[in-house]
Parts: sequence; C-alpha cells; structure tokens
Amino acid sequence: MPQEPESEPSRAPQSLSLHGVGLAPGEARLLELYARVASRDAAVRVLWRVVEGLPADVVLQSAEVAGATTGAKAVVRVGGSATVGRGALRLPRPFDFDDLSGLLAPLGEQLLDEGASGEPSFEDTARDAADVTPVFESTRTMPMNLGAAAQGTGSSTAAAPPSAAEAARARIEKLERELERRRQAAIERQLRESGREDQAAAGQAAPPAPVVQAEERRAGRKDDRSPQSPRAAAGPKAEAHPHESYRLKRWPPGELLALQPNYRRLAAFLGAHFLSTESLSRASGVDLPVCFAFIELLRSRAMLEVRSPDGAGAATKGAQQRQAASAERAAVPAQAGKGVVVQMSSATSPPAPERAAATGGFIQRLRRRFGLG
Amino acid sequence: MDYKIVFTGPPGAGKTTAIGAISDTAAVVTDVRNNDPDLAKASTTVGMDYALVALSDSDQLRLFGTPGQDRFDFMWHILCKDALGLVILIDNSRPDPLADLSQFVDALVEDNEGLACVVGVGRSEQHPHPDLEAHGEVLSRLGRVVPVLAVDVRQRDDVLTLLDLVLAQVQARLAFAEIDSPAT
Repeated sequence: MPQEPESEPSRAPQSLSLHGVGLAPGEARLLELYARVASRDAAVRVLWRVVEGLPADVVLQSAEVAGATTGAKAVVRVGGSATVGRGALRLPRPFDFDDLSGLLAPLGEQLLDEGASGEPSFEDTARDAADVTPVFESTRTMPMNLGAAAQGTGSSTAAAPPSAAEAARARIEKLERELERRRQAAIERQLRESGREDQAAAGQAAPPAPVVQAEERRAGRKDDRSPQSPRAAAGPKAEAHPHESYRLKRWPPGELLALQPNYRRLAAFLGAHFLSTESLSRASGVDLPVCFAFIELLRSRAMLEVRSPDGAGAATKGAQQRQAASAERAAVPAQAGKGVVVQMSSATSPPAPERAAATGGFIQRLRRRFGLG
Repeated sequence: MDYKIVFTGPPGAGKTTAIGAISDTAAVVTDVRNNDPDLAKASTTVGMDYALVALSDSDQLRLFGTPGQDRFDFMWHILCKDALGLVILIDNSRPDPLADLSQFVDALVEDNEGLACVVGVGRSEQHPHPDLEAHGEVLSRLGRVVPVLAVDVRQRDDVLTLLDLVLAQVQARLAFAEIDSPAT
C-alpha cells in the first residue's frame, strides 16, 4: 500500500516567531521560539538545531513539535538558569532580544538572512494596569525560508532526510530523550547552586550580595525606586517578592493552558492553595523558570490573587468572599445529618505530618505507576 | 495505605468506563438492565462501581463510581467519606448539563471544603454547548477553582489527566500544610 506523502513543503507557510516575556523593556526572561515549517520532519530538524546550539547557561524549558501534514510547528522555550537561595528566586540572565542571533546560531544565520523579507517587524508592549504587574512582552515575526533545514541540507547536524513517518517518530523519540536528559541536568545544576547558597547563608558570614540581588532589593523598596529604572518601572514582581504566594481566581482558559505541557497541572496546584513560586516548583516537580513564567503570565492577565507574608494588599474581593465562606462553614458543626467526613478537608487544619508524608509518598508512587510526571 | 477516589456524575456520563480505563482489574459493577426510558443505555449502575489500583501489598487506590440517579444520592455521600479526591463527569449531550453539574457540586463539593475535585465534560465535541467556560461559571459561583476540561473517558490518557489534576490539588494542600506548619 503506497504511503501518503508526509507533507507538502512548498505550500506550507514558513515563518519564525520569537516571543519573549520579561520584566522590563529590553530584557526577556523567557523566550519562546515558534518556527512554522513545512513538515513535521522539518520541525524536528529545527528543534535539533536550536537545542544543540543553546548556550550553557540557558535552560531549555520545553521543545515540542505539533502539526503534521499541512505544515508543522516547532516550539522551543528557554529561560535563564535559575538559582534558588534562601527562598529568593532570581533568574540571573535576562535576554536582550538582540542576543537572539546568538541563541539561534544553530539555526544558522543564513536562515534568517535568506528568509527575512525586509526588516523584521517589532511590536513591543509594556502592559500596565492597577492590579496587574507590568510585564514586558515583545514579539518578532518574520517570514523565513527554512528550506535548508526542511530539506536537511546546509546543516552538519541534521540527520538524513527520511520521509517515512517511522523515521520521524524515531527522531522525535530521540529528541525527547535528549530533552529529558538536559532537563534533568538543569535541575541538578540548580539544586547544586541552591545548596551552595544555602550553605553560605548558614555560615552567618554575610557574604557579599550579588549585584542582581542588591538591585532586586532596591527594586522591592518603594522609597528607593527610581522612576527611570527599568526594574523599578516594572513594578512589584514575583522576583522581587519571593515570599508572595499566589492563587488562581478562576480556572484559566484552555488556550492559555495549552501553551506549555505543564501549565494545566500547575494551574491545578494554584487553584487549590496559595503557593509561592518556589513552593509551586517544589511541589509540582516542574522547573522553577517554567513556574515563574506561568505565574507571570497569569499575573499579566489578572488571574491571580496575590498574598504577601504580612497580608498587606493581598485579599481581593474574591478572596475575601472565599475566606468569609470558609469561616462560615468552619463555624457550622460538621455535616450533621449527612455523615460526611473528608479526610483532608480543611486548609486551616493541615494534616498530621506523618499522615501528610505518607500521603505524599503514596501520590508519588501513584504518579510513577501511571507515568504522571 | 488505602486511599480512594470517587467518580460521580449523572447517568451515562461514563463513570464505569472511566474506572475501567485505569484500574488493574475488571471493575465490580452493580449494573442492572435499564428500565428508565429517559436513559439511552442498556444497563445502569444502581449500587456502585468498584475497582482497585494496587501499588504494592500495602498500598492501594480504590476507585469508586456512584450511581448516577439522584434517588441514590445517599450513596454519593457515603462514598465520598474519606475520599482523596472527586471526579465529576458531565455528559454534555444531556438536556441540561449545567444543572447536572450544579446538582453534584451542591451535593458534594460545597459540603466538602477542600476536597480535591475535577470536572470532566464528555461528548462536548458533538455537543459543544454549553462550553467549558459556562461550566466554569457554575463552579466559580461557589468560589471554587476547579479544573474543567473536555474528556473522552474511553481514552485512558484523558482519565489519567483527570487523575493527575486531582493529585496535583492534594499535593498543593500538602505543600501548603508544610509551609504553614512551622509558623503555626
């Protein structure tokens, strides 16, 4: 039986779109690259070339291939390497959009040069609203000719150009294994760095604060905030308020959750309780930069309630209603007549530590059993 | 350790199918021949469905399915006792899916503050209305943020996604307790 052609390269649109989310104009803490190419096979090659060329301090968040016969999409998300120390989250390396050529080196400068028709268009927007953390977003979209990548020519790293679906699948599986290996390596690196910072902090020796942290402390103090400073202009943010915790106001729309494979699970965490970025990362097992990006995304869409340690400026109307409802329910003698006792029913009465540990262990085993991350 | 997750929802929503999709063993079902002309199915659950996921000799997850008809609502409460989580399955092809959702939310979720809960809406491809947003509105009236997603319970991955979201909520609660405990 003849095989159907995998794609129609010549008809599919080919474009490269870069989307960055950061905290101030001129920097990006999370970059998303969308390469729309002719076929799934070409998308896999594009991913390979980007992933292989990533600088050492760039953490790969995810890489996906979507689409099939009518054109495919390669999506790569990267962020700065994250370190966690004493509860502080910082992403030490913001990316300037001008750095993108370096980031995209594996794709080959010629891909940009050959394909771009005229100057790429830029659309920079700094969102600002009373109850929304300003988040800088920048999108560049440029038509480009990925013919070289799509055909497997002009690249020393591209594999042979198989057209069969089997070969594409094999390549995707190989890619997934490589991504998982890199993801694990990034986590281990973060943990090592975190451990070093914790040790230094435990030594009471007041180590010299890194410049980034000092800047963040200044940015977090309203009195010191310079209106000219991009950081200050960015306003309060998760990074400057590592002890803030967040909770969803409502379940996010499906298209937002589809942006990243882990977003739905993260939303379930944030729907259940107030959690800080770090707690969210630790509890969910999802990399810190992904959690950070998700929270920034939700904040930019005013979908989060924010709670600070001192309770200041935290409770929105929704939160107040919920708290009042909880208090009301707590005051009512439990479920008389219905005989319903829910084992882990109250946020205000955490489960006994032993029981909680046992439940946590059980859930981990259950997740392993079903391959649920 | 024994934990349980309860699958509930109106008749025909796919509770028995969902349980069967992830359990180790064939579910123990208490289906009888359907005599209700309003239900387009040959049999229906009158007691409960039960199946097991054994992780080890001492670790197991019990999966329970409630009967859908509201005349058995006393069973819903019994089965939800000590549950780790609740999966509400809604059949979007029924006459008033939002009323169905309200009924189960009112009966179970509202009374069980903090119970991990997820809503799976079935047959939404053939019956796109009401959409997920409308289902979300019903839940938000209660001040609860509950995951709502379209599912096909014949697909194991869809059922696992529901399970994943229930577990995530329980883990969030554990994380919250861990954070809070030193301060309390």
